[in-house]
Amino acid sequence: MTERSRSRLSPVRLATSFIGQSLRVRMTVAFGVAGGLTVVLVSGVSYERARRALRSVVTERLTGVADRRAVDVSRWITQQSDLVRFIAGIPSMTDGVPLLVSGRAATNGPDPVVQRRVTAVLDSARRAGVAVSELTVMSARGGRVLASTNPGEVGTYHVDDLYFREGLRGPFTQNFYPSHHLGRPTMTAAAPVRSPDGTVVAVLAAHLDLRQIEDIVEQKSGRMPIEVYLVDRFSDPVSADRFRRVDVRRGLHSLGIDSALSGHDGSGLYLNYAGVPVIGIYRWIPERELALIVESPQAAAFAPARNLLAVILSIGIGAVALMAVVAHRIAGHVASPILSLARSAERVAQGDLDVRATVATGDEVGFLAVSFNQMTHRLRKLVEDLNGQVAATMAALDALRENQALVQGIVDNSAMLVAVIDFDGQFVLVNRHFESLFARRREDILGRAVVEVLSERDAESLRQTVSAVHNGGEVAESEIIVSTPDGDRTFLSVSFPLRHADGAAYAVGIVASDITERQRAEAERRRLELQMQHAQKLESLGVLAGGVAHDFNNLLAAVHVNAELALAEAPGHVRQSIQQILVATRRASELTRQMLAYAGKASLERRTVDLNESVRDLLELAKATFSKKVELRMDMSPQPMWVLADSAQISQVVLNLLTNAAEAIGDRVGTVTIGTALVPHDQNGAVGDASRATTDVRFTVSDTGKGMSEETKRRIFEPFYTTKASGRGLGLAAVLGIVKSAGGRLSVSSVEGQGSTFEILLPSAEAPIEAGRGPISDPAMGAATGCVLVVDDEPMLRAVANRVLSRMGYEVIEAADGVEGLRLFKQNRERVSAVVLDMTMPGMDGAEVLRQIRQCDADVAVIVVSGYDARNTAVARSLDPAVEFLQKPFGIDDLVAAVTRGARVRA
Amino acid sequence: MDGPGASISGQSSLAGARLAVEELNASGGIAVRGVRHHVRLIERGYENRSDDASSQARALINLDSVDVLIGPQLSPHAVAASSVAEEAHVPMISPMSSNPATTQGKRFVFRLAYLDAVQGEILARYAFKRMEARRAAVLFDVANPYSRDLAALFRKSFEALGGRVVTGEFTSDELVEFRPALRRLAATRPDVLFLPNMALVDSVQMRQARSLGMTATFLGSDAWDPPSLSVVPEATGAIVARQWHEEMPQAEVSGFIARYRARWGEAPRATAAMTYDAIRIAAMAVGRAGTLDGASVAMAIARFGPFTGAGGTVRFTGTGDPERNAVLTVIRGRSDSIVEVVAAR
Repeated sequence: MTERSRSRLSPVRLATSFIGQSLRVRMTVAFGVAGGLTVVLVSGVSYERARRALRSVVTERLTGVADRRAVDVSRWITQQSDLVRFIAGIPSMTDGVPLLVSGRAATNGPDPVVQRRVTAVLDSARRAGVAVSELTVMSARGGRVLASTNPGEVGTYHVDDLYFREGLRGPFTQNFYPSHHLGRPTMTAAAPVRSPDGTVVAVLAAHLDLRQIEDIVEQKSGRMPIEVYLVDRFSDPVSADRFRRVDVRRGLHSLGIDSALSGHDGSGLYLNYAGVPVIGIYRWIPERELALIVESPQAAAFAPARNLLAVILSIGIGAVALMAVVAHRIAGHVASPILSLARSAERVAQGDLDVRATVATGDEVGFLAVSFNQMTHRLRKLVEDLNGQVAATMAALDALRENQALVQGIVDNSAMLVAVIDFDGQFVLVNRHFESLFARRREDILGRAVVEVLSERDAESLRQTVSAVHNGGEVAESEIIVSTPDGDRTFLSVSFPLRHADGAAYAVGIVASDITERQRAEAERRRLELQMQHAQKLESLGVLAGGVAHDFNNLLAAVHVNAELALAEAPGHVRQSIQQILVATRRASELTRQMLAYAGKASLERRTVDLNESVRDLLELAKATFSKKVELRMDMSPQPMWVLADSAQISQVVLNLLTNAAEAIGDRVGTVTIGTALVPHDQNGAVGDASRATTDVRFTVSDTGKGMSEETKRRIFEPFYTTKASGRGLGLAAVLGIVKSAGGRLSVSSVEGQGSTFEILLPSAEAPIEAGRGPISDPAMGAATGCVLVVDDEPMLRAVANRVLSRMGYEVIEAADGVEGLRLFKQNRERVSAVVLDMTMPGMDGAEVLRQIRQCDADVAVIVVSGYDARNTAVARSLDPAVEFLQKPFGIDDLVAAVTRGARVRA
Repeated sequence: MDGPGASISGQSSLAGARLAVEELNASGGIAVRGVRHHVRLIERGYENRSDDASSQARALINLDSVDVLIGPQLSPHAVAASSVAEEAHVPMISPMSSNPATTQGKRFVFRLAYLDAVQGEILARYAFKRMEARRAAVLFDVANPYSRDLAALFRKSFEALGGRVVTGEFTSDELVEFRPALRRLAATRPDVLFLPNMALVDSVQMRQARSLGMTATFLGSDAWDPPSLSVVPEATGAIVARQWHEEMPQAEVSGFIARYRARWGEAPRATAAMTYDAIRIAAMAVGRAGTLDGASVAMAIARFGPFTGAGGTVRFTGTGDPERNAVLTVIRGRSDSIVEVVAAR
């Protein structure tokens, strides 16, 4: 049980609460208490007065007793003394004793006869009622006992004793003293015994019997219990037996006794020698050296007072109780209207406002009831009004709450970031997006300062935003970068002030949308745009290059052929120059080939080529290119390295790589290593139609030159990128283009300062059935018969072809465009052995012509001459596998070979 | 708490008592069960009467509530007071009383002196054997039990040895004229005259005896006061039985003499030394008993010893009379010196 409940149940508390709760009881109790106190007071006072009165009465009585007893004691002692004196004077004594004395002197002992006689006197005196326990006669000299009622005493000396010494001089009573001789305290009366002539011959001493004193002292007096006793100056009681000697070994002590022994007379209330409360009178009798004590027990003495007290108390309390009952009834009568009012009030307190108190009387209580009713009425009205107001307010609150919930819903579920920051820099509101973005819960954000939630940088920028709005008071839009657990994100934020109803701003609201993705997309788009532009640039470059190359090829073809014709007919001193022309045209054609290769438009004369052969062909040229310091090492496979590729292109590739290797070494000492090998095909990375190959041809060119940096390595295959002072930067680009279009792979490894290695992998091809030696086959001149149709829009080319073919022995028919070519073909179909057809012509293009020709004649040899038009070439080839290709610019031999082959086929 | 109280007769006894109490208190008092108690000396003098002795004893016991009674010295008074003490169950030590009645049949009363029987014996023996006396005379106070009993004991011993004794009596109310009795005694031509009487009386008697022409050697009892006899030329050569002598060999004796001299400025008498010891013994007995209850203290005293103090060595063996030595001295001029020491039982 708890402290409180324990105390609640304590009787005192119960009583006080009970009393406190009841008006009637309170009134009754009050009356009871007042009455009771009065009764107690009265009885107390009465008791006290009674006691005092009793005390004085008793004291008076005791004093009377004391006086009388004291007188009695004195008288008795005096009587004994007188008696002794009398006895001392009787003739028997006065006659006999001197004889005893003198007899003693003579015979050294008392005369027994005389002694007997004297003793008899003493005995009879004692028996006669004198209060004496012993009578003794002592000689004046030496105090020797001559005769005594106690025979044993005779012959002893008492010269020392006071009563003897004093008794010699006259009657003397020795006051109460402890007698060694008797073994107890006693009193002794002495008187001298004189011989007839008056001289003192002896002393008569009487030890008094104190029992008589006791009897005197102990006389009963009246009905009151009284104790009277005598105490000597040593605190010993005179009659020891009564006190049972053992207890009084050290004397009796009490206030009365001690006061008396110190010489005072008086009375008082004190504890007697046994600890009993008494009323006592004490007297000191100085001549007797005795204290007389008269005591009466207080219990008995004050009994009447106690009785009085009891009577008064019982009657009084009885009366008070009775009156209390009456008071209770009266109180009830008075209290009942009040109580009824109290009950009504209680009902009101419990909520019943319709109650009305009864107005029972016209006094203050009635007036109270009236006022009470008025109050409840007013209260009722008030409560009704209040209820109405409360209902209205509750409704408004509900609407507000709904609105709030709506807003909260919108805010929370917005895909934007919503936050409200007050001007102390603390978050007041954040939405769910905010929570998830920063991976924190609302509870950990609201109320905290911005710096606690965001990084320092972000907090600072946010703070600036907030203060900007605070100071400017306007809506502001800005782009901010925020670091989140997922990294930095960019937001487009709108910050606006939040105002109270009075227009004062109290916080800043921020709504921000995440534009990170958009920005990223923007950036990506730009990058792609750039890339595309770049690609387009390259493409247009390619187109340009292709166009240039094509036209240039045509021109070159003419130059080349004419040069060759000229060479055949030229006189000696001119031959050198013409050979130079040929060399130059060859080189020019290489260049255009490269360009065309880069542009991807080179026409491909795919044949099975032996890489080793190509390399060997170029060896002389290579060696010529290299400086003397460069060592050339060969690591060639003994087998033929057959690949399916355009031989010219292969040569271009080899030459380019060798040139690059040499240039990498430059002016220093170095080694260029050329290697070919057959390796298992690596499926990864192979493209195009070479994927079925199982082995690759690996062609490597290594140099110990200066090597390349990472950046250089990345860019070497870009067109027009060059590290050389000379050169157009097309070489390796062309190489890459060629390798790719051949279905191979090109890789480069390089260590700056040590050297580089270019590695080309090409799918190997099966060995050709006929190991044709390439372009330098040499058919006999003039041996051919038949007719060849030349269709070309270029008159120069037509002329060249005419001359070459005529020399071969053919009859040549010329057509300047496709339409005419067809007409002539149809016209001369039987005679035509071959057709030389230019693919790129205005009007009907070569492909169309070819088709039409094939419609007419399925197997006439057609030598297609192309500039750069690879696509058309492919189309043509797919149409007609029997077609021969001639790449411009072509040499005479090329033309001758092609025609020969084609014609051969035909034939 | 009150300490022992004492009823003392004589200045010398008082001086000895006071010194003893002072020393006890200076060393912290008596320890009773670990609690130290101060010793208080309550002094009451009485008139030269037995009944006053017992009265004052009564007063000390009843009014002063003493725990231990020391004294009286003189045997008659001691006998009277002893019955009071015995009845009140208060332990009493009489340093000097030699009369057997003092302790006879009592549980609570003790003495430090040797008994008169011994005294009589040793004097008789010395006179007979050493002095080769054959005739002895005794003059004694018939009213004084001490004097009377001692005379009888001497007589008994001397006659048992083979000597002859004649006695003369007087009563103490005749303090000045002894010649009639002395004449009678002188007529027998004694070799020794034994005077077992109080100091002052003895010197008068000796002078009167010499004046009568007696040449007997005087024999004195322990009631004599040799220091005061140094001015009595007749006393020279007297043999005195004493309870105590300053030449006793024990270190405690000489130590006591020195302290007493230092405190009081004069040499101590026998009563001083014996009273001093009585108080010390009482204090130690209380300490040993561990209580102030009379019966327990009395029991402690009854078994006390051997104790060597200012008054020599005593040993209680269950009664009020201890074992100790007796001393015979001879008076020579200003002082007396020991002639014989006898163990007394």
